[in-house]
Amino acid sequence: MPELPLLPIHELAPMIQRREISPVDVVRELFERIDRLEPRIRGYITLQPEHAMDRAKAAEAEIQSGTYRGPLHGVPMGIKDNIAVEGWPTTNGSAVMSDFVTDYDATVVSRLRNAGAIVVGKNNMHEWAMGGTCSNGAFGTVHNPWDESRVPGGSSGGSAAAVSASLAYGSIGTDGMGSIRTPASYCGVVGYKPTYGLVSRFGQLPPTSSTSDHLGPIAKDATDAALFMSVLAGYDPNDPTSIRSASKDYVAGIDRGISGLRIGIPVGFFFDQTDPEVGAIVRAGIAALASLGAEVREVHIPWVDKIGLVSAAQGNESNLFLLELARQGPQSFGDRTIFDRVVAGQFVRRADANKANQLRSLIRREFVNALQEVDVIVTPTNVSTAFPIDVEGALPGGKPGGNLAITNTLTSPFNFTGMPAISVPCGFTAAGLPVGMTISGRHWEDDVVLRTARAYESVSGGYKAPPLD
Amino acid sequence: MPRNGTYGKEERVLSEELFRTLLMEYVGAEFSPEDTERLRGLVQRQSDRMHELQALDLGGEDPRTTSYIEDFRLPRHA
Repeated sequence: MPELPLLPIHELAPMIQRREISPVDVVRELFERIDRLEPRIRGYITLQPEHAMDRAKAAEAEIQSGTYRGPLHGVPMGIKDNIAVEGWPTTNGSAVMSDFVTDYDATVVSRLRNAGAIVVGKNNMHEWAMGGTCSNGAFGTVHNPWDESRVPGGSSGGSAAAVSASLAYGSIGTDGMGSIRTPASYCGVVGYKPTYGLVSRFGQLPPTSSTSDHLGPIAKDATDAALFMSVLAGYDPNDPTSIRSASKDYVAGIDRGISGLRIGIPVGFFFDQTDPEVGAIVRAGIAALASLGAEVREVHIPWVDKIGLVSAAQGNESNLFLLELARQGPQSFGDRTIFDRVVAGQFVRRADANKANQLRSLIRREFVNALQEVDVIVTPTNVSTAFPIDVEGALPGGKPGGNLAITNTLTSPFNFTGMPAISVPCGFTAAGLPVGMTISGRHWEDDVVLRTARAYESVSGGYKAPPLD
Repeated sequence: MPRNGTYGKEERVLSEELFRTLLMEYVGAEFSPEDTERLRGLVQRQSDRMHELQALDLGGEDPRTTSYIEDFRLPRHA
């Protein structure tokens, strides 16, 4: 049997349920691995081993007494450090928030706790969730487990790196422009952004009215992501953007396969700007889906190539809370580009934001139209693989990009349309770096997206551990 | 660069003096000359992007049709 922390939750959970292993052993082995590898990865800002062991002992006693809460019972996990955990600091990756402690849990955290999960710590992240590198932050640079000289992506980079390195069985991240899916893609794990309104944002800090922010799981594979969704999904009166929807079992049908499923491959935008090697790996992934009985056809998404204009006009909508900090000057931020964007965001006119909303509505409608012809749409998650730490990089073809353009270009359409989208690992480049493939679908058909991802993993083999030992 | 007006060609160049004035009005702060100059370039590029956005002919798309971005606590209109 492999080392316990390397197991996906859906393999670990039955062993806990059958009392073959105790949550105490699970937590102990996890922290042994954390002690060994965390100094290299820096996936956490806060770790709480004593709390975790106390919870593990409580879970052990509960399970031994005959009360088993479900597949997350006794399973350790991390929480991105912009999500409130009662009594622990929530730093947002910023030095100015290093002592900020909440007296309440975010809804996602209370749902996980009710399911018996054990929160072991808060994951490192890009400062204020406003960047894609997680480099040079107040709490250390996060390193990609597949190549420690490279970024993990961001902004949920600590979450993805920790799950990839098996320093957590899963983590909850936030995704405003791609912040769950990009680091998942760079680190070779699964990142899932659910339909907008399906998972509560209450307790995401600072509170934001952003219309592109989502919370969701980063996990070893699609089945684990579905296990998370079965706990996280549902209406929350504490979140004004939460939407009532039909309750679904995301796990029950996940192994049903995709025979007859119609898969759309967008012509133009998504593949045109993608690194050829990455594009070829994703196309091989699509061929694998076809081999499972899916029907693959091209689709057209007019206007999606203009999504950058929506980002430019609306990407700053949640930055107002940082204005007071920005007034104090760039020294208030570890990443100066955040200061720049907060100030520049004040110069976006209402007329431009309205026009961007028009464009956004149009793009959303074009996706909805395309999804009348197909059931899911498959695209590369990112234009390239993880880039070296401290290197700005360029887009494929030598075009100047900058980190945000590289990390968000292909992910942001699914934020601005609110569609469910999952990034699954679909292979490696010749340099040994993971490539992510995104499967997106109709609003509220999160189960179809997860099932397609799981079907792909039946061919790819699912989670692969990076060579850290 | 009027905040709620339309762009004309002559309005699209953001002078140093105008930008310092707008920084005080919009942000309420003064920054170092280096920071101000870098921000001026950034805002100028952002304005050019917004000009590109305004030039798009999107037809009659009504932004209110994007129902999923509503705050559902507010009264709704048909």
